[in-house]
Amino acid sequence: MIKHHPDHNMLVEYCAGTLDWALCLGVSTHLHFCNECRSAAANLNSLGGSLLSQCGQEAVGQEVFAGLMSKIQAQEFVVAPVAEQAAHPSITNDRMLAQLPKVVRKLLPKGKALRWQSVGSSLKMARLAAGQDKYEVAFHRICSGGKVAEHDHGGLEVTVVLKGSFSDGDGIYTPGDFLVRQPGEVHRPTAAQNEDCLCFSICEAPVRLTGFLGRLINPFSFRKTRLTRRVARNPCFSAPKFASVRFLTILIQAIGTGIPTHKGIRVAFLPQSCEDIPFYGCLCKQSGQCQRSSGRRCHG
Amino acid sequence: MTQTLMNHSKGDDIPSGIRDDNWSRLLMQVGQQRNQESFARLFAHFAPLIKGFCLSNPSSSLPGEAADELVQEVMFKVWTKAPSYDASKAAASTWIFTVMRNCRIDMMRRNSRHLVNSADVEVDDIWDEELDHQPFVRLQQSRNEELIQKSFATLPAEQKLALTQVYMQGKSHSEIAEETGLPLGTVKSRVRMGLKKIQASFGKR
Repeated sequence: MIKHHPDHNMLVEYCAGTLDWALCLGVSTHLHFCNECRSAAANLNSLGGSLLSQCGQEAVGQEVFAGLMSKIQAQEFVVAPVAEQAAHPSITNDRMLAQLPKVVRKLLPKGKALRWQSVGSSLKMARLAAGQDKYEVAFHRICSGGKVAEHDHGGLEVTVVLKGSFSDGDGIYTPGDFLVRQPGEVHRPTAAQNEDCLCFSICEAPVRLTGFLGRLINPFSFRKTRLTRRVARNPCFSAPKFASVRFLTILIQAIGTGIPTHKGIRVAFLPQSCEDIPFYGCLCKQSGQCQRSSGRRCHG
Repeated sequence: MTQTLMNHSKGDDIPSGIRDDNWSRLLMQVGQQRNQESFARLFAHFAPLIKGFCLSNPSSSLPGEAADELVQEVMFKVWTKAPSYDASKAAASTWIFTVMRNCRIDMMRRNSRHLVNSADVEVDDIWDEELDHQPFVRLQQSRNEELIQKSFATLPAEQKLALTQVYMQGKSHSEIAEETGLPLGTVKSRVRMGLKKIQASFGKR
């Protein structure tokens, strides 16, 4: 039973053709599941139709019709065969990707498997080519019983559940459910115990993970992720007791964004490894956990 | 009681209802028999409407030639897609509206700075006709159109305007808000209120 639908405004924009392309993908996917919204969309199309038949007429010259007919006649000779789409390997290999809505199937890479990337222990994502670059369109897959790190949204995020189910503080979401998250709505999805949950998601801006661990595995900033993983793997940083958790989060933010930060330390470049972090030794001294020395001096 | 009955019978033979059926019949003929004469009549009726619809956006200032081109493109699609038209699903004007909308989206997309050419998802995959062919409960469509037309006429001017801007001028809510200087919430609620009143005339949601 679908409980979460796109609102009237989004549906009318979809039917009038003024909604952003990527969001239309989400609405179309929802319509695949939802009778109620299909019916509403049909009515909104009818409104378009009645506006069309009411609107003021503008004379169209005879030559337009003549041109059209010759175009049609030229085209009649060419009978375009409808090519049957070969099954994508990514569909046949994966039970989760069977019976996807047609519009989503169209987004799968042709003749290639999807590239899944792990984002933390229970979440995987695979980006989809959606023909635009305003939104990030991707599959999100939460393993059964898995919890996704608490996160916030820098922009609009639309999620349509395709398979399985997940829940957060606000409710339980099952296939077809259409969720819209606005910036500032922090949530922490958890998949149901019995099966993995596959979601189709459209994000306007990078999602921000808000928890401490979340900052280490922020899924939408891979440059930061690789770096922060290296930081986390380093024996110095993975020591159980940090002098200040807050200090580390500030450090990671500083590395990721290259902004002037804590205590006048400036990060002038993006380090290739931990050894390249100019204030490496400095941090270790502060936290009192360092067993090794990088041989570099702190700029601060 | 007699009053409502009378109104009802009057409503049944208003010319627009008959006209709509007429166009739908013509479109069916175009689809099934590839009848060029019917197509010429459809063209004579809808082409000026399509052009009027496209030119109703004062800010886009589409030159006459480009509008003619769009008309030609829409009617070309109407001809090629007509075999899939089903009069029991939608009135001709609604179906032609959707064809026109898809052409317009295609055109706007080609000019979009966000376009990335790597994907093969197309307009017809998103606004998929098959979706409309899946079963769902609804009132008879041509009757719906009539009701929608009537109730649209009774809307307050501001709601009418908002819906016209969305549909005819092809503007998103935020674009309308930007241009008119109204808060986005106001635009949204005008659209919503308008739709609510129209939809109240044919059922929930």
